[in-house]
Amino acid sequence: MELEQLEKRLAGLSDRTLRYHYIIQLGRRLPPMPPELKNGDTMVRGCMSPAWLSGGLDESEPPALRFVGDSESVIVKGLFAILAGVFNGKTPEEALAIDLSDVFDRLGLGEALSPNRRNGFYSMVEQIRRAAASLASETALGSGA
Amino acid sequence: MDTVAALDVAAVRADFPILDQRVDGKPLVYLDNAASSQKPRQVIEAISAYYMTDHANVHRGVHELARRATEAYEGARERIARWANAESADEIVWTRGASEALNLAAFTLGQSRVGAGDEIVVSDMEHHSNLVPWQLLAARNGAVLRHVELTSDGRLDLDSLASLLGPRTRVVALPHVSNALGTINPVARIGRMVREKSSAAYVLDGAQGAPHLPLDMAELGCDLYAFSAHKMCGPTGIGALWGRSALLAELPPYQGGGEMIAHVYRDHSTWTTPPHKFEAGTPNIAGAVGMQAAAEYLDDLGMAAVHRHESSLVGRALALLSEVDGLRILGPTAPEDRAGVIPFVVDDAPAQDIATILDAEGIAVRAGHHCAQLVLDRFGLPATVRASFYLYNTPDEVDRLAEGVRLAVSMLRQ
Repeated sequence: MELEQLEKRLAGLSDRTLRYHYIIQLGRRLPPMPPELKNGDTMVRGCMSPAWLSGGLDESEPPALRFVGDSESVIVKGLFAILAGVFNGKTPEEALAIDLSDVFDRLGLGEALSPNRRNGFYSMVEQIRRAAASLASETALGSGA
Repeated sequence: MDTVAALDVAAVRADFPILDQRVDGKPLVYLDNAASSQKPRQVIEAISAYYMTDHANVHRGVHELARRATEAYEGARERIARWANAESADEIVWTRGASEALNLAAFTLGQSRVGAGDEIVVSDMEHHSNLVPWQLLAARNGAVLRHVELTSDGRLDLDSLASLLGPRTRVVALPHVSNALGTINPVARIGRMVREKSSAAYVLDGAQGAPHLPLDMAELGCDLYAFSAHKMCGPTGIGALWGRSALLAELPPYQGGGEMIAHVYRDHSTWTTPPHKFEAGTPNIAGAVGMQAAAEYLDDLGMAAVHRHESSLVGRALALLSEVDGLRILGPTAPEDRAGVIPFVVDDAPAQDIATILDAEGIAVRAGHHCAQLVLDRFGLPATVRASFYLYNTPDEVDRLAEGVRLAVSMLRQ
């Protein structure tokens, strides 16, 4: 779903409980993460409920980010679905230019990004940002060679 | 005859300005008291008044403000000693909180009593604050940690404890009340077991005991008792270690600096007497003043009344929550055996998701391991939801918790 559409949908929900209700549905609709990708390397640290994140650049031209993820927390899974919608298909440079706090504030979900949450979602966000930064510098080096 | 006066909860709530607010449009229900309690106006005003009129450094100046600050600080020590029914104010060592009090206990007992091959008894019920300091000590001195096991209803297994006590036991360190299970431990009875079978120092982590139960150091039968102000309506950053005079006199200093010396030479120093021997540096004077105000506040209400109020909330919560399909409450089933802590899990509904939805409903609880990973390991759980009550919580709030849990479970299970 497009971000604008999602924003409109969430804005129509009068309180946070209803927004979480909607996010739970998003999590349920998320394509399952291939089981072979759920391992120690993809496990997200700092989570109360186990969560996994895997991804990198895809084959498209120019190469774009593509992440898959999962969590035993239905809410974290739903929040990841939003994250995937924001970042997947973007080049690393485009991803780095995104102001995620602004995106989540507009969705009425600002508190989900609080580092205090320790629900694994914050760690997912950090990992995606780090991956985007390192891929961006790699592609920059590649193009300069 | 029952002489415990009932708590006037509406009047109590009026003393806590923070409770009167909405979260996302819904009235705040604060049920994270085992993590930290809220502060009444009386405590906030005492701290403010101290800074407005009396502050200076303690024990040093000859001027009026230094005198007033010292009187406030030492007066607070006397008040806390009375509140805990200690024999003298010299038995109260100020610390940053229960964690520092337990670190102080572990460090100083490590210097004076624990050697290679000696044994330290803890339990699988410990908050990490009463576990990690002893692990550090065991690693430092080559001592051995022994763990009291838990029964399936979340009590200390006293047979397991009895089997661990012996001539090599130097320290027995246990919680008065479990922060992760709510269990009130039979600490006086355990004290008698410890004395019969060993010459160990008996240390109690009172972080969850002091705020909720009438305290009487003579009755508890321990040698050291650690507690924090912030869980008993006082400010953060202050707490105390109560110690038997003879033991405090035996223990070496914890940290070096001003206040704790008798005389300083070029290559060594001599120590002043307890409690100041353990209090290097400028202390948290305003914190002590705030903790005194908290103890006075609780004393005015009566700790027996506070405990009875919490017990009635716990009884109501146990009844309402156990009606939720698939919900399991950890810890003893009898309300009289537990303090105001209710940890629970629900089939097919992750603890953190329940807590997130409760937060959206304005209900503050905690989800996780509650700094007591051994407890969760014992029950094979990754996390629990923990609701914890205090003197200002109401039966209506317990009802809202139960409704919130039902709502969360129905959303998560669809």
